Amino acid sequence: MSGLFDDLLQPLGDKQRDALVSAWAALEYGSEPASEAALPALRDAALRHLLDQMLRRTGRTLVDAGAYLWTSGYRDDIAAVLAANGWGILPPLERAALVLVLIHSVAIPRAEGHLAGDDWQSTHPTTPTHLRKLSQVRGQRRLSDALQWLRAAGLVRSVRGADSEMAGASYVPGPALRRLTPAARRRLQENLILAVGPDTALATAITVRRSLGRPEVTTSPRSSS
Amino acid sequence: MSNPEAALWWARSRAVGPLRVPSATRTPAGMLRLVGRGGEHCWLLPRPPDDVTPAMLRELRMQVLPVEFPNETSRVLAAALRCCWTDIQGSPWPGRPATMREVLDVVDQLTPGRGEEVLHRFGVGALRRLNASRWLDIDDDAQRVCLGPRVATWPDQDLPVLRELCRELPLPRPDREPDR
Repeated sequence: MSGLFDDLLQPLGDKQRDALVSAWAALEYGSEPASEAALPALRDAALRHLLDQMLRRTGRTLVDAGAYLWTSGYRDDIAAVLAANGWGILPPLERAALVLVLIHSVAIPRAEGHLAGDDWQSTHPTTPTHLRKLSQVRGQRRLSDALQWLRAAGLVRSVRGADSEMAGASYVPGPALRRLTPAARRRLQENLILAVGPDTALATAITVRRSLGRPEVTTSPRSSS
Repeated sequence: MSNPEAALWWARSRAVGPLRVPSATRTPAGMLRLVGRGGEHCWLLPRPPDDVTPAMLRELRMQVLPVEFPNETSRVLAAALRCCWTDIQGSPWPGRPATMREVLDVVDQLTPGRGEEVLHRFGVGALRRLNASRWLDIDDDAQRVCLGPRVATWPDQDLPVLRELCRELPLPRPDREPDR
């Protein structure tokens, strides 16, 4: 028995309690979002609300992954405190490698109209040519280590055979990015705009809005839920 | 019940793994406190509802995040348990410290025929992964391996199987211990 959840779980019968704990494990431990079809606690709105309350007590929240799929992610207020304290942030090289994958697999295909949505998932691989030949990241061994670390964290996923010019694995964004809340997805999109086009009108608008402390962005493809 | 402080402790632990804090730190709600050797520091780990573990995902037919080199990593963890879990009737954690050489010698006996360089490269890689995930607690300078705080979360019902597994593993060979 864990003291943090006692008052939420004790009033429940065994069946509902088991359903809730199973769903909690599926959301928090699973590498991919969990399906409503497999988990009664995700189908039932009342139990789903209880599940979100359990998650919120641990700094987490329920995240709608679309198509009757759910996952969990950090609450936005908690994520801000974690980042401010440097707890769990990516080291510079891992961050650079992840940004390269996000730019080549998501940002460019999205700008070209090949990708819809804002969930940072993509079938467009970032190839060894993108990562090792065209990028400014130096140190092949260190880059390999960084990509291995990102793969272990679920932030990238390797795909094979996508590059006719260079040997080695290609990458697409991993399932961990599906844990981003709508606000976190927006922040990521804005930060990429600020990084790759700091002199653009869009970047200026983001900077001004942030300096005014306004939480919403007018260019978002999806409103906050 | 709203407990903003506990929420942050839990999230921090999710982000960076088990937290090593001074012993004077108050135990946040719902967390497990493990006092380390010397008593100056302790580990804080979250206690999931009903102590549910990732093993639940097997029942749900869901995937966990894949471990890099899973066979080698499991083998090195098993070897470390063999070396560090000396009171096998008790709980495995904290156990006693072992040397890297002892652990790698057990791995060597489990997979005979591999050259020393291969053993060292794969073994050290697995030790690094297990240290990062806090299944082991490794002091590189002292070449010392201790069981990490995650070992203390092994469910009691799984310990008999773990004991049997450990008994079947070879012990480190004394003549291969120049560091000790």
